[in-house]
Amino acid sequence: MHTVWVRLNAVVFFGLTVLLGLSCMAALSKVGHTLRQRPVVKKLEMRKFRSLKSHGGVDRALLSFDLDVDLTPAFHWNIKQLFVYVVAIYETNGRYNQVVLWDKIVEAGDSKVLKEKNTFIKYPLVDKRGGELRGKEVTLQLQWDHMPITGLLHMDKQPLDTSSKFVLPTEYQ
Amino acid sequence: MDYEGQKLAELIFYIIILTFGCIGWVIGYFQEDFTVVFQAWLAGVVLSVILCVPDWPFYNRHPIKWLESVPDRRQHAKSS
Repeated sequence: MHTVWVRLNAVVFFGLTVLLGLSCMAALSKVGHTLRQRPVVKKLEMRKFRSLKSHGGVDRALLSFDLDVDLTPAFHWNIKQLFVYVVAIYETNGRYNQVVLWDKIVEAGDSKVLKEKNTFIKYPLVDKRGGELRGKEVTLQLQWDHMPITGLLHMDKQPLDTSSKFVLPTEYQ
Repeated sequence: MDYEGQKLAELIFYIIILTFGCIGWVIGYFQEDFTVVFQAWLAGVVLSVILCVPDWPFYNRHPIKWLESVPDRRQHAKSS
């Protein structure tokens, strides 16, 4: 503490240590929040089926969907943003595939009610392993990542019993 | 800064930063807004830098009492 630089160093780094403590306490104060408060997906379903074609050896489906969800319960003072995405789930040989069709970043200051009407998917529904999509039953599920200010990222999703399903045509269209 | 001054400076910034941080945290908790905590913390650090880093006069009220200097022995030996 004998020179200006030593004192400046002491003040700044003590300050940063205190900030670290305050951040950890904020994270701890919200442990268990997501168990008690979960957003409810009011609607997530396919609106219009556009096409199912074979492109370069892989099946590809295009469609548009409707989404209605209020994400406010997922937010608290330690959440910076949510990364929300629509997943298409279908089965191949007894195993389940998940393909992300659309995503959105919802920051803490943004509107937390998502109302998408006839929105076209951002990423095509493709079976990258060259598998069949014809005739498959596809379930649409909303999933989201909680990205905290301090702490670990954790995921949550729409319960499958509230998810909508549709069946892809058996012939390419 | 003398030793007493250094001790005082350290005490001052410990208290300021911890107080601003804790009060800010409680207000932020009820406002559901972490930016409140951050701003209170930043105010505490800036205030501490202003009060504790420069060599203010009130940190020099107990100046170190150095001993009288010992006459140079080599000079003595040469001259005698």
